[in-house]
Amino acid sequence: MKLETEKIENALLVTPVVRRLDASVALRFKEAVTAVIQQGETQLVLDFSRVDFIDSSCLGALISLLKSLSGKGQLVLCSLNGNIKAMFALTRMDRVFTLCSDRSEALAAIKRGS
Amino acid sequence: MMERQPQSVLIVDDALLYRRLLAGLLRQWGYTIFEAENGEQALALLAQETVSLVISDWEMPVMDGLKLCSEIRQQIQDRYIYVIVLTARDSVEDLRVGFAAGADDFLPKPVNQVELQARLHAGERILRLEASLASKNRHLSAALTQIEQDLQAAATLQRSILPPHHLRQGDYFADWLFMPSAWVSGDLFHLFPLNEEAVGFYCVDVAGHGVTAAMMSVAVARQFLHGRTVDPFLFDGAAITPPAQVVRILNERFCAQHPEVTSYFTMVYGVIDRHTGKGRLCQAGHPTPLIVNATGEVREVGEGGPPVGLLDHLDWEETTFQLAPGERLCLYSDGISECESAEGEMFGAARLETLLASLHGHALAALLEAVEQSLSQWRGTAASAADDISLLVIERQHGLKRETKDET
Repeated sequence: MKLETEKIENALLVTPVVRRLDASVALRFKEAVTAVIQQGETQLVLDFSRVDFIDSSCLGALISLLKSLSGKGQLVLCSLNGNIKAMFALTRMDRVFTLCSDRSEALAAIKRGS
Repeated sequence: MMERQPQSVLIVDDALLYRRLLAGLLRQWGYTIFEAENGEQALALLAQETVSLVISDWEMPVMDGLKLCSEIRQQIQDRYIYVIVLTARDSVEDLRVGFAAGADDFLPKPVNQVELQARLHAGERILRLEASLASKNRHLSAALTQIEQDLQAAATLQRSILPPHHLRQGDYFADWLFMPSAWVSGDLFHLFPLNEEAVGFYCVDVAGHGVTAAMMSVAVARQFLHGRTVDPFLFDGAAITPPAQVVRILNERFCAQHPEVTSYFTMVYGVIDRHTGKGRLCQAGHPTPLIVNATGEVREVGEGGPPVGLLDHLDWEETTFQLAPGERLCLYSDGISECESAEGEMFGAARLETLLASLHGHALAALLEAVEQSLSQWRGTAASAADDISLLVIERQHGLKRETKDET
């Protein structure tokens, strides 16, 4: 499970490079991003532009990342394709997470929130 | 730290005098010595004694040192035998042939004592490593056998919570398709009686698969079983608890039990009035249920909603529906819509809708068989599905005459 990271001001852009974010990689994904958080990064943008598909198994991973940042940081998701957006709508997770259309909108959301 | 036992060494040489000389030297160094005149004698001895270190001459009658090496590699599988070959040969080609035959090391003749001792120590070190690896392997393979047995038991347990085929509740008849992704899986479903007035149904898909998912699905099945008897939360006094309220109760229970978000599930729970066909359901992260009518038209029933056991303080809504005689309510897990072809294309909800619509005239058993075939074909050469596949179809049949008894 490869993660590309890029620091922009105080925000860290994290891009999972994986076609399917499903049960087979959910745990590794969670551990990889948790490691980033443990290094002290608290303003995170997760960029899904390289992900075609995520299944409901990965929601648990995203929720635990959100919980581990709660009160001390922010998690914003961006660049979700139509399928992924539909899954977030179906599971109401669009009300739990901040979803942005692209990186610049996500960085602006981080700035507003911090 | 393992206690070092005195190492045994087998000396193989046809020259008696030389063999005795070497044996005397090694006894002084503390080794226990076995002797053989040629390869054949050596093999016979190795089959009887647990000696693992061999010093062998290359040139011998009957069976030479090289043949001995290759026979040892072929015949002795229960332990590693470390073979040092003594030779006057020193060409690269001779060494290549010797190593290829299975020799571990070479010593030039005449033997230098210091060098011999060093080579023996190297051999013992390899043998100790090998013994410790072998013992770890034995532990691992015992552990693997245990895990495989446990998985098998968990799979059997998981299958035991699936309902029988051909479920009948008055005018309502249900059947299902289930294709597990691994040994143990996390999908479950049921159509069951609530009271004289209503039947209940559910479809559950526990996130992930394997033993954790199976254990969770057993826990969910238990909730529904107990929910009708020892802990009747499916009832609110004489009334039936609204489906959204049932989902809220389950969410509270599973969030409290699993604060670390290790497992959660998507589900649909609903109730249908036996007489009027009026129903309501709560969709919790599960794919939207479909109703197929007698002419093959499809409508969706559900508003979406969050999965269960993921977060506290979420809320769920209900959708009402009407199931007319001849109509079928289809509940499926995302293992169907997300089933990938060999080219990586997903089956998709739209394709499933079209398929179910095209099968409206078929009997339920034939419909399920056709869906299973379509999915297997779609999957093609892909070894097994990435996720569990389940489909529960509930059909409202035309009212039976009073005198007709319900089938079991």
